[in-house]
Amino acid sequence: MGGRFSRRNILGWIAGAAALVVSIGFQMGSFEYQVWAVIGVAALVVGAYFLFRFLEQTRHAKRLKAFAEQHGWTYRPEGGELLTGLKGFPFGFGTGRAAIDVVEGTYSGVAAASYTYSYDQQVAGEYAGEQVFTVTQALLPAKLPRLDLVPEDAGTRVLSQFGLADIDLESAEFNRTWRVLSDDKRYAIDVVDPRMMLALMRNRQQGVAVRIDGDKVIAWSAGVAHVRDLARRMDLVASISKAVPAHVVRRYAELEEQRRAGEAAREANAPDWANTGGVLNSGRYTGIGVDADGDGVDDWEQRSR
Amino acid sequence: MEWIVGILIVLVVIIGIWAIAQYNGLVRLRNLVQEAWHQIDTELQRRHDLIPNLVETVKGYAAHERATFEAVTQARAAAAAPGNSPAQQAEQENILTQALGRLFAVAEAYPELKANQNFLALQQELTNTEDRVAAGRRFYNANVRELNTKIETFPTSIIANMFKFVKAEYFETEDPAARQAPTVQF
Repeated sequence: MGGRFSRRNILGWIAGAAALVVSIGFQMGSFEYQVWAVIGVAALVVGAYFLFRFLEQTRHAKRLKAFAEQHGWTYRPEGGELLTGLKGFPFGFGTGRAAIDVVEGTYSGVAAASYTYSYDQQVAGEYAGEQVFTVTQALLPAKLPRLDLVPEDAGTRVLSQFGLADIDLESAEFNRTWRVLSDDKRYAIDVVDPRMMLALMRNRQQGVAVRIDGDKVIAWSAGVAHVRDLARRMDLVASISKAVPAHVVRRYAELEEQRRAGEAAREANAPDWANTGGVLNSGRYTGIGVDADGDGVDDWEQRSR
Repeated sequence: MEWIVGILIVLVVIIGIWAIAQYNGLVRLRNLVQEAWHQIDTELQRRHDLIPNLVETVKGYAAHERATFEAVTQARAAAAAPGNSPAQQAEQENILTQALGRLFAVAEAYPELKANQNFLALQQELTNTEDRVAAGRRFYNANVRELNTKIETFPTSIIANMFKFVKAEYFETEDPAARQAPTVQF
């Protein structure tokens, strides 16, 4: 990489400065100056590390902005609201969770976004380092239950976070490449049909795991991905979004509609006290024994499942 | 001498626990296969229930296509008959699918029929049902695959043979459109 602030130049400056500090310190002769020389070198190294990080982040943001402009997308430095509702590793872990360098737009007809997600890892209440991930997500045509697809090369750190058994499908090659993890085997088999398997195999990338949860499909991997990988990651999530079988979309769209109708009926028929939070009530109207809409089903039975 | 007896007892207990675990696993899988089959059966029933309405709708526009209607009606009756094994049911469903294909081919010649809202709704519902049958088939076959693999592989095959577990049949339906699709290669 070229430029005044290239890695090579910075390393050269630091090496030169360190050599200067060490030589001055040791030529001074006294032990005290030598100690200060070593401390000076250590400070230079630490400073260099943070300088590298800052410059790398700035360069990455610039590349993302250029990428976004090139494709008619938008770039914004922060997007914490994108993390809302995301659960399961690596989301919901640690403290100081943040989504930065957000690129958003429509990819192949699907609303998608990509960002860098980080959190501060805590071990026994102590800070144990920052964890950084690249996350790419796309909207799904319906709200779906959680399903994890983890590549076999994701590494033991990732694989150990999932306690569910792998579900085997019809393709031996697919089973060797991906782990399908869900607590509902039928749902997993319905979603990961041959068309979905094809989309996953064609667009797979080393170490990138996929999660379907709610109205989003998320592809995530450890570290900050280079901008040149962004299009492929968008391709992955967009193709998954489009490959969800129509009967699955229909079923869960109907269930969501029923759930909303049930909720609306409960809200509409609830007495005031049930909608007021207090010490001794949950603020939720159960509707037991009440059939306000006259459909022959108690309000409390109007549930999604 | 006593320690040899002790070791033998421990070995027998371990083998006994393993055998029980394998037996229970096989029972669980067999029940899963049966449950999966019942789910397919429900969808197939739904499919069979849609067909009389469909035939009546088409009859309203093409009453003279009697041979086609009779073929569909007979195929439906055979498929809806109880007591078919998965392989037999698959064969009956294939015959029904072919008969339905001819029915829809007849409908193609009648633009007013193709525009009929009832016909369109029935056609869509039939498509939805067939999607669910296909999904149910995949789930059923996945469970059959798991059960059969367990029955055939050593050492679970010892327990399977001892307790007379038999392999389940796959439910394979023929889809002429699928046969025309290019081979998918990863």
